[in-house]
Amino acid sequence: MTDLQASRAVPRITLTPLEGRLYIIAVLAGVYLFAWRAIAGTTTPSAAPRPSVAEVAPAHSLAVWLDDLPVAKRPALLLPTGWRLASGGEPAITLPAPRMVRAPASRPLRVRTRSS
Amino acid sequence: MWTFRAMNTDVAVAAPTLDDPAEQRLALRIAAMFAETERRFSRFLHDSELGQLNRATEPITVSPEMMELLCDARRHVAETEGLFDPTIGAALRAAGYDRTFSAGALDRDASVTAAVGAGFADLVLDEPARRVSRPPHLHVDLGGFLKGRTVDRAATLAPSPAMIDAGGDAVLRGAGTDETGWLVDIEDPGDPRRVLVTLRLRDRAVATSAPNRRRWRTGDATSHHLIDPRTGTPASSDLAQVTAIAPTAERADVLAKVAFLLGAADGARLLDAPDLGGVLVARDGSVRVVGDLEVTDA
Repeated sequence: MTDLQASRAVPRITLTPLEGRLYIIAVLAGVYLFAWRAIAGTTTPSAAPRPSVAEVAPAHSLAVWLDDLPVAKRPALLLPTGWRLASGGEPAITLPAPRMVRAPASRPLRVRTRSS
Repeated sequence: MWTFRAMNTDVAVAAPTLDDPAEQRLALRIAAMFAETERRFSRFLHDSELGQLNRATEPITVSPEMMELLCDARRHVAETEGLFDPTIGAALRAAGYDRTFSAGALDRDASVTAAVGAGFADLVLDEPARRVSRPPHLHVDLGGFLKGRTVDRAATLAPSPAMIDAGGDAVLRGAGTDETGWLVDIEDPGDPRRVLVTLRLRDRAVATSAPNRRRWRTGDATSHHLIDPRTGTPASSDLAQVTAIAPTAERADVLAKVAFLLGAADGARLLDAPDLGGVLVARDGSVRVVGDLEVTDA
């Protein structure tokens, strides 16, 4: 059996130096094209229509309130503990920006401890 | 040094080796940390996670941070044999502390009502599942414990030397601006304009408990915020104020409260230990310094 395998004729491909270079260029070009299409495919807008947002939101808006969506089209959301869905009519809950005050340079760097 | 308001107190941040813009950026990061912590864990904010826990009628899943807070609190409860207990929220409300404190805001004609007794053992923590259940009469108040803990977390953002001071709960990193130690003035609870003692501290945290500021009128009596978990009512002590020095502000805050409840003799024994120290002010005005502390005239 070993003899049979060894005796099988293996076709040999012989390339001239020019053909070899062309072969390598073709392979690299193929890889490049494949990679380009893979990347571009994730960033280029699809030609398919995206009706869900366009139907309910103004054309200039990239955001939509969940309760503006038809009930059937609302995604099921699993919220982290402590989160809740706000109504579109509610003002956004934001933390007030801390009002930072620079202490006068004359104030000594010492702590005054007391009950607070 | 930069200051801002958070957790109903003034917070100061100083990092003397930083240039001005860098110190301000540090202070802004710390301010954001305080604001976020308050938003999540204040018992006075309806939508806070703590607010939800205190209203929950069945076991709820809490955030990893909340579970860590409660588990660390449980450790302090065990170490202090229940003298520190954050399940005094209902007792605080019953005593009239039912909203953010400001002078006169809690005054009322009605006298204090007693809350149904509750203790930390009634709070069921399922740590792996992060589930917490509480009996209806139990409310958690993280109060000064949370403030001390937030000061500790803030200090991890700062270089050395640095000072993070939240209304007297402070972490002092390094040895101050001139390497001789940070100066800490202990305020006189009988006269806030006076300083009783000045300490020189290095790489230490400090916290003070006293009933002289957060107090309010309830009928003909006066209530304050230092609840004794043994009675569920505002504590009665032969001390007017306790300042505790410890490696962290969280521990200093717990120890200051517990020493106040224990009274002058046992409180001094508690704080006279390695790595700790304290300044105890009795109701008669006498001052006792315990532990290996450097008192200075500076």
